[in-house]
Amino acid sequence: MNSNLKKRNMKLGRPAVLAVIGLSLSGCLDSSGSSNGDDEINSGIYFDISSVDYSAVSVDASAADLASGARLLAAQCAQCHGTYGVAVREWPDLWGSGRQIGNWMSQYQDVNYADNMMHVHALGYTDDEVNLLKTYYPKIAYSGGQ
Amino acid sequence: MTTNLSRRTLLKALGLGAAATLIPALTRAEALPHVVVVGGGFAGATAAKYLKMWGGTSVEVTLVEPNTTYVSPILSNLVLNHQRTTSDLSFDYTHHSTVYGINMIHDSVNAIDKTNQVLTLHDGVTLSYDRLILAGGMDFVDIPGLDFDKVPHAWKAGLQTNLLKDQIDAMQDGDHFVMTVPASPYRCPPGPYERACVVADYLKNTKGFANCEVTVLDANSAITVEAETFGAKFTEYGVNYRPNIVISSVDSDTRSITFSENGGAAQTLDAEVLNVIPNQKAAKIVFDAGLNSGNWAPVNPLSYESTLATNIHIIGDSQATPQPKSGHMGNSQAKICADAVLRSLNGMDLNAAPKTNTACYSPVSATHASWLTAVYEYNASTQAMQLVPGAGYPAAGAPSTENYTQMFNWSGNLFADTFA
Repeated sequence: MNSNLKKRNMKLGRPAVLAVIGLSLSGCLDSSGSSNGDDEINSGIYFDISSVDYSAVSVDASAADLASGARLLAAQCAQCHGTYGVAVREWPDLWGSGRQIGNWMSQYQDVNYADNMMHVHALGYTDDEVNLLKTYYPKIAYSGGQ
Repeated sequence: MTTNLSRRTLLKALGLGAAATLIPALTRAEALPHVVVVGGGFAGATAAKYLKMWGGTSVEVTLVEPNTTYVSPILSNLVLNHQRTTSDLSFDYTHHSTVYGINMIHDSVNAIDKTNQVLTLHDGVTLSYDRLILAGGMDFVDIPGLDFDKVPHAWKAGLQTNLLKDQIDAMQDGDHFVMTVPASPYRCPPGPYERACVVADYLKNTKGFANCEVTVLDANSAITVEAETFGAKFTEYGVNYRPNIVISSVDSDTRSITFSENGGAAQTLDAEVLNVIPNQKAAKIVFDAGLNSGNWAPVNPLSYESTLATNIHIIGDSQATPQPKSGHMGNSQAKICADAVLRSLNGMDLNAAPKTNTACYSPVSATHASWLTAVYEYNASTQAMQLVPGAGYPAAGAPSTENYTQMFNWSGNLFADTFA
């Protein structure tokens, strides 16, 4: 998975290219209709988590100088965007992003996307908290595959 | 195994056993601080991972979990309608040991010595800890006559999930599926309603049974979350929804359930498939250690340290804060706890303004899912977690095929953040 593609998806909202990515992944994810058990042990979601290698993450030493609480707040994004913002599947990476995270968050807060979880989720964070996220994620680099 | 553990194993071999704590303070001070996490679900697996990810070589972390494979309850309703298998939802702890250097011990805990800070495992090994994190999930409140081998709960995933799947697969047209919803708070608030929808859809639209009845017996006075979504689906599927139910007993052989409705006289309902999800309480280990107040374990939400014992933290389903009991929330709390433990071991102040969140996509058929999300903040004056005001939390989204697709983006990342 190309992280730039994923980022572009988020910036543009939900463009048609997303559907193309979805199709390209369906071979390893879609086990619908099948009920055979063990032959699918490495299919579906199990396969997903092996598609990232979190040992290939590096954190810049200067992250230690960030405001207390930046790392912990940033880690609360990981439930949906992967550890250190290194995501599996179609949702966007956050690692390496600074200003862009601020743009995304204000876009999601300001625009009333219909039926969009990130829109209402973004409303839960203050400007100061978004600024903490903006300081943290540029400190993260990732050299593994996706 | 680690130096810390081997030291204790050696002491045990020398006949000193749990007397490891009697070693002079000087010796202990030379060892790394040892954090033991008990329970390898979403909360415990995340806590162990983040402790080592953030604490590195400054801390030794041991994860005690009886099973070598964890089957996620999240998405497990999709096993019932054949969209996923339990294999798809299975994870092991390979990354925990190889990537993060966590000591994995596949055993259960027999006893906690809170005074000397020592755990005794089932096989007799003792582990002393500087900080203990209990992530034991939840336990069921007993119901007379209930035998889970015949009447599955399928609320902890794995064999139970497949047992319920097989029972549903054996249903004929005209058969009756009866399930119960536990009284709040319980694990996964949307889960029971999601299950009723998935099963009703499967029987009606996949199996083509026009005459199967699906009955939901709810201990609560109304649908607890996403009431509009699930209410509409119940109407569409013809689900028979009955609130204000108190179960008195179950006959597991005949698959019948006796209960009262709205405080009325006892009545009995027979089913071809009976799925009883009982009321819930903190894990047994919490009760055994005297860390409960009522059914749950009170904690300080800045650290998840028990208010009843020092250096013991309780995260996930067992703890008593008003945050929902979900895998996503357990993962979220685990990071607050891991950060607090590392700060405390280093003599630093706790983060004074933690935020947590929960999110969940709920399938309502083999093609459509809804969602629910909420962000929580710490209120310094009440010293409790509360919903962030002004955003309309908990906020929900209507069922759609788009949300069904997004469901796997959400769960895939949650699984990776917990187990990869």
